[in-house]
Amino acid sequence: MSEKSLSPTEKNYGVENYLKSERQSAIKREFSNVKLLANSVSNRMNNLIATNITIAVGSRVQGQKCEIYVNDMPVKLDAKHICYPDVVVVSGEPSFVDRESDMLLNPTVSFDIFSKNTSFQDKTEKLECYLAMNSIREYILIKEDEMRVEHYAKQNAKQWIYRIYNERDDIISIDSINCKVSLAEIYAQVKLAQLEVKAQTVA
Amino acid sequence: MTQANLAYKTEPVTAEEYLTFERAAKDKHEFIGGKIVAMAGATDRHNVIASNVFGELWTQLKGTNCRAFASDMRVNAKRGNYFYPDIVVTCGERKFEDIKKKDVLVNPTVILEVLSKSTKLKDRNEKFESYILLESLTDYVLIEQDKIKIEHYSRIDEKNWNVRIYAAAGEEIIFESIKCKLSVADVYAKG
Repeated sequence: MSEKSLSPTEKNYGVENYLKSERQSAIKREFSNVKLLANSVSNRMNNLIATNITIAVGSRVQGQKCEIYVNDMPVKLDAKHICYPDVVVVSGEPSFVDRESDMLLNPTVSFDIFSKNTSFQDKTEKLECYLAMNSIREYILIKEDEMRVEHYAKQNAKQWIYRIYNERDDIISIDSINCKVSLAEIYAQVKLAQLEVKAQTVA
Repeated sequence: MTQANLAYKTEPVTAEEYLTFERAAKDKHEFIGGKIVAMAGATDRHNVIASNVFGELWTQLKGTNCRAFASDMRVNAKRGNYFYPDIVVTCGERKFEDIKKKDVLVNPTVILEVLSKSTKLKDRNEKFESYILLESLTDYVLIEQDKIKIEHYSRIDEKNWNVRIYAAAGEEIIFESIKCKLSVADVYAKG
């Protein structure tokens, strides 16, 4: 997943080059009038964070009817936008656009990792799409280059709770999937301005 | 390098250099991520909405210990950034970064920004990140200019905020901390 922040014209062409898997390219061709909202270039740190999240959440939702997809699952945000969340969780039965495309319609919790290379335009559009989307219950934005996590938790169609976490002992309560994750876990082994966070599990 | 050229420098400058420059400048500039950024001129639509909101709040706050200001109040917004919010409300004693010059506010209570194409990303990202860290801030409001949509962040506690989205003219925004109400219809009333 993940592509460089390119200008809109560059992006339409450049996206072809970054969608490595055939399936991703097929989706892009099929939905060519739809805008792909990207995060940033895949690298060691954001991969590490995605893995940390997957492990932390995955180990806690065992036994629940939950599916977790990492990096490669396209999500249809609305008629005009698709994205590839870094990590996305569906609670209950996932539903897709059609049998071939495997494009997810009903994410429950979505995690996106951002860096200073992420286009503000895409980040903002994506947030707005998620805030307007029906199925999504929680949207979590993780900064790759500093310890900062933002958490939007839906209360009803017009209301959310927004939380900001920036200390390693902070614990994110992902209520829709009954799961708690600490910042220390998310940033385990991630190099943040010369400070490496040692792996720690939540008691 | 003259002061006037600072606005066009691409390298970062210090906050001191920014303030010295800005105090002498004719136009307004914000200080974002270490860089001096000239403020874009506001559109008519922007001005109508901003003045609607300012007028409503100013009137409701008359006689209280809170006061509304429109666009000329420089705010130290944390993360080393300085902005001029479209509307800012302060309550009680206004505290300034420089107690003699009194031209950089550090304790805003409510901030409202009218989003335009040119400012929207800044308002939603750099400004949002900075404002949200201000201990004194109880409410941050983002008002779309081109459609009826208002996002209202109201503080629950140090790290938790309520986010309410308003998209219909008949709705009303309530500001608990300053005991004010703003009807969506009034916000978008045409000038």
